[in-house]
Amino acid sequence: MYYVDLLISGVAFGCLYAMATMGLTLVYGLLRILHIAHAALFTLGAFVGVWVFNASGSLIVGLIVAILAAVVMGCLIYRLIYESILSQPPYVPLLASLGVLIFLQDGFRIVFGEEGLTVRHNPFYMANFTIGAFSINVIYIVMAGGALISMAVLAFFANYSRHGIAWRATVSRPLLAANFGVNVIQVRYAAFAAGSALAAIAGVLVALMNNLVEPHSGELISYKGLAIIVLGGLGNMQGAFIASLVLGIAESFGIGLAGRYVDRDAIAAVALIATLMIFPNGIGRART
Amino acid sequence: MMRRIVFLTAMLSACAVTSAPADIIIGMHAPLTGFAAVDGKSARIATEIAIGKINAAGGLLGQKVQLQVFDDQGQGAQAVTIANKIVSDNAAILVIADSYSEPTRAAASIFQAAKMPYISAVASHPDITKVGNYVFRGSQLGEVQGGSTAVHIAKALKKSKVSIVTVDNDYGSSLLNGFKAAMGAQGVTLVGEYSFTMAERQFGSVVAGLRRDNADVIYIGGYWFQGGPLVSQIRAAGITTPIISSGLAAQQFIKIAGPAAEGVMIVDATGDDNANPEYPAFRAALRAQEAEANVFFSEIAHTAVDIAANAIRRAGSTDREKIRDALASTKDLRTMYGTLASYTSGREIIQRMPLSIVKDGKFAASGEMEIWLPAP
Amino acid sequence: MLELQDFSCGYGGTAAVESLNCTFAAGALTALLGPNGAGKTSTLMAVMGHVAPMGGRILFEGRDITNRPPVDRSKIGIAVVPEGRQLFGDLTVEENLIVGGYSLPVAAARAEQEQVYSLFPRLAERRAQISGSLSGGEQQMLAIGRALMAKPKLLLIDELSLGLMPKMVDVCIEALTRVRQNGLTIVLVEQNTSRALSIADHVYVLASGRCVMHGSSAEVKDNTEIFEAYVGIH
Repeated sequence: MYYVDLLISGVAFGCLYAMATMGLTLVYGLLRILHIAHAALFTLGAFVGVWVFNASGSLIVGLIVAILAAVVMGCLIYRLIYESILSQPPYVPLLASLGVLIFLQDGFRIVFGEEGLTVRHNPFYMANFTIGAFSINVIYIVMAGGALISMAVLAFFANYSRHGIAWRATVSRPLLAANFGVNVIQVRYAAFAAGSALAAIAGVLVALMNNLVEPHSGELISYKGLAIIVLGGLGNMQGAFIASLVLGIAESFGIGLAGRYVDRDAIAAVALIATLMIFPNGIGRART
Repeated sequence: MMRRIVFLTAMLSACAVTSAPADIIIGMHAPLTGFAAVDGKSARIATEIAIGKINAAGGLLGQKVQLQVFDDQGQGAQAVTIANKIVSDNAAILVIADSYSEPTRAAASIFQAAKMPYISAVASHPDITKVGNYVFRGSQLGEVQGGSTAVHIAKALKKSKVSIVTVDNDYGSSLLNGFKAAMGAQGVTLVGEYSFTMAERQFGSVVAGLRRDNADVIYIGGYWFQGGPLVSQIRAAGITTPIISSGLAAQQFIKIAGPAAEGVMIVDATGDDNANPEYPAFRAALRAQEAEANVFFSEIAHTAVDIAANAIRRAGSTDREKIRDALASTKDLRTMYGTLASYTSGREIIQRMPLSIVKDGKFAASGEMEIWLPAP
Repeated sequence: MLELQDFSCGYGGTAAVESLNCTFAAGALTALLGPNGAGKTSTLMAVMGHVAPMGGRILFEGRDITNRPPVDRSKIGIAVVPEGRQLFGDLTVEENLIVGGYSLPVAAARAEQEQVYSLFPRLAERRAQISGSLSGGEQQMLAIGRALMAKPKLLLIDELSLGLMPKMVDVCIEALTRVRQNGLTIVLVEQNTSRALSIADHVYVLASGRCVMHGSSAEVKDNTEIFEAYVGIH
């Protein structure tokens, strides 16, 4: 039962990581930028979602506004920061991204306060789903379900719609895709929008689970996100999803069995090193 | 960047203050920015309120009291820089640490070497006061809290199987050491032992372990920003085991854990039922400055000023050695945190230990705990 | 159909093509020949909008398209079969074709796809295969098919025969001959000079970014002295 519990929490978090970091994979695939400021969109979504939920009393409204806020901010980061430095060496956008992350985190501190926000009427408080001796936090089910549904929608779009196929073509060869009428700029905005929306949903879910969102909540996924996209094979969506699950489960068991000696991010680092020793290009095939 | 600006501002204002030689200067460091900024704010505002009251009543020894506040960011390296600055300025007659154990430990030896009286208001690591005879405590030792909790579980709650979850820092480990030192004699056994880092908010693995342990009582030692999510996640998993805790006496804990916080026992806290007659006015003053997030921190910060002011009055002088002697002879002093009976020879407080329990979203007094003291 | 007027272009300030004047007549197959580094690929890429113009104009059907962004060129009827095929390697054969027809309405694109499959039945057999795993010849078929998907008026082909077995080159040329019957204009850059001369209506010979001679295929063949000096007969 203990191991089942660890597995459940690992899978729930793996799904959450996948949803939260998909934006990193999408952006890396298109632009070769390590978009670490993505973590701030997770936090922004959580803050806006909780704030609107508390004010309006509707979680759905909160979620929608959170998604909108994150999408707008994600697209702004592309337009105002990345677009002008795309031709620079990769460390330039990375440093810019890090700067944006710090800037936004301090912005949250000023706007929402150091102690963060709590959810006033949390529907998942003490909500658990029990079958016999077995019980799961409802929020875990929501986290895993939300992630799987949104990933499935994204995968369906990417594989079965014309626009999704054009998007993948752009990842593969952006110049040539443009010659077939694919608007590469629109594809970039779409990637930032989709990734930011997913991060916002993940942020709201974590805020509901902890009943707390803090200015630095995004640190949960910032550095781990980088590990996930490397593990997944830089820019590969399926690879990133598998890597997220592996990492979620590794963390859960790692903390459960050796939590007195290692912390969460150390497990991510160990998983990264171990996987790269076995699969030097990551779990999925790296796009070059 | 923000941190740097705040720090510089603090430095500049400190410099401006030193140019008024007629005042009594008390130094203070607290985490005004960084991970514990909420706690630092709670402490700073409480200290300002306490000193404001003293000045309104005519000051100390006929002089106004000036407070020099420094931001240690909760980090040892910062605290060392600050301590060296305060010592080289040579203006403060006493320094209060409203901070965590790491920065307080780092700074203590510098103040000891300079023979500058130093009160560790809230940091609970045992080594802090061992630095020397100028370093005093303002609150209960972590080990005493941990040990007394073990005694309380055995004698008052009449339970024996305990799972313990502590934060992975000086505070958490001193709670754990105290608990382990006391539990054997009480017939208490640990069925599970977990720790978590400062940044941790996701406790899925710990909760899985707690479910497996099936203890009689869960003992949590940490801070509100971890305790809130942890208690929520324990209750959300359907675990109904009673919870006793150290360090969670912050309003923010109840705000985060909401209904899950109900019934959680808090060691060494009077909370909202504090019997000090000045307490309601103090709370109102905190509320006016939106600084009620961690009232426990505020109470102890106020207490450190109570202890310092009492000693300076009795010393009748700004001579640091005389103030030190007066501190050591503190007797039956009513503070915002209780009544300080006296100091031990190791400059630890001797004080009753209240217990409170979360009830209807408030910290309600729930009697006193028997005090366990570590073997000398 | 396509006209380059005193056209120069290049990379980072260095000219790859200088003062080029070429006319590509509607319905004709025009070959651009010349040694490596002559500026043939640069010329094609400039027509696709990927090389910065440094002077002169590009006219397509009388309209100046010199500075239009690459994304527009598919809509006005220009498609490319780039050097080395440059398939979308992670996508299947069919997905490559879908991208090829991205600028057409869905129904038109679907009809066009059937045309391409009838032109290259081999692609129809492999429609679900990842394009990166096709053989060289199949990849070239797909690259041509992908370009045809856009229903272009002008097709630019960069190195049709490079790295292909002669039999595969025949298949491709035969397919091109078939699509030319619908009036498609083709510009062909080719290393295999004799092949190119055998199918081209008109020829431009480039060297060091300049046009050194041009004329009908027959004229160029007759003027062997100059031609050999620049290109060499293969």
